[in-house]
Amino acid sequence: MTYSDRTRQLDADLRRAGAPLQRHRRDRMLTALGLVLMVVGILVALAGYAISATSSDPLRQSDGLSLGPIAITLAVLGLALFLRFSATQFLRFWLARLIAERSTPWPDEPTPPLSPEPTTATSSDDAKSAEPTPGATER
Amino acid sequence: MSSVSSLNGAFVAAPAPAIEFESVSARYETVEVLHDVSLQIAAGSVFAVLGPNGAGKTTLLAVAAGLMPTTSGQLRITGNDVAGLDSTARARLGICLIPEGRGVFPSLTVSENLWMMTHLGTSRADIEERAFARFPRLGERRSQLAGTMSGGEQQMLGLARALTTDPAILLLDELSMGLAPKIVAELYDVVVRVATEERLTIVFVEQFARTVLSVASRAALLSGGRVLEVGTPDEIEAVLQSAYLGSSNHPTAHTPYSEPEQRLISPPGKAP
Repeated sequence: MTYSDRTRQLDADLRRAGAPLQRHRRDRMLTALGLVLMVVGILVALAGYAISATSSDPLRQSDGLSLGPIAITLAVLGLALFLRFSATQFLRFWLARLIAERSTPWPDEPTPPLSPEPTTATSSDDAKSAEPTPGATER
Repeated sequence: MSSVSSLNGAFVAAPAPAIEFESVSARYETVEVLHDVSLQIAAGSVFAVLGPNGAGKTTLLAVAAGLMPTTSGQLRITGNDVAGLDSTARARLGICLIPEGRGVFPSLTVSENLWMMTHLGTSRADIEERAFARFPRLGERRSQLAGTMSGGEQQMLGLARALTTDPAILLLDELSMGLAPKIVAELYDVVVRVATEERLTIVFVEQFARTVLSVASRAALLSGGRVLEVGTPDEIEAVLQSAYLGSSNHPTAHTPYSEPEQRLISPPGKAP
């Protein structure tokens, strides 16, 4: 027996299975980089403030001030990376969880009474198929 | 990875099994559920995993899908060690698990449930087209909340959603659970047709032993987390009773696996 096309494709994908692992590793590295950039941005901003606030020399003060935009750029870039590679994953799970929690809906709704046994359908399943009842809780 | 066999004097490479468990053990915290399980599931086959409650059938599927790590042993898919691949990566590659309980989102509509599969890059229209072609009844109910559909239709939706991902390996956990025999037969028809046409590898974990054995090409019997028997459906059916009851000579022997069949043929309202 030989592989079907789809199985051959799966086999080939698995042989390249390093790819998803590398992607996962890259995502983690970029998350860490984002965090580092955010911290560095804040530190640079503080350093800029310290330089400009502790000197009366206008040249040194302007050096300190010029660090401000750099710090903001670093922090924003870091935040973007962090959000892209970590928080989005968290939010995706959060959304999935929210949907899953809503998957046990209408907890206070009384269970509908059992309907009389259908004469033609072979089961309650078929009976429901014929007439879907909004709000029914069977899953 | 493939083995070499002789055919008319010429050596040809036989493909590796689609799924191969080699001395796999798995545990929930301190409780070991699978003990040294070794199984080979051929590519393109319909394989049934049977056994009484607590045999480790669902855990076996969870391990294959990457939802549970192995504590020892190796799991290979088409001969490749997949220990480093998490469940998401395996799902993206085409190893698809339909969990017990259908796994549909009841507060979303049928269409919205199907749209969940767009993460693989397939358009909504394509997904709907594929799903509704296989299950026209879902097309009629595309705007209905999944939670308000019958159990059979929900299972159809779960199956349709899985098949739209173009899986290479389909792992089905208790497809028939809580469903009318007529619906189960309908679902089996679809699965077997897909398996034949697209040569998918399908692994069933089932309670409807006879039904699943009628469509499976091979089967395995698990008990207490160990493989008791692997063989053809006939071979497995012969040993089912002793596996469920511990002895084939039990005086009141009637196998639990036969109960659904009995319900199937009993008139409504009468005890089997």
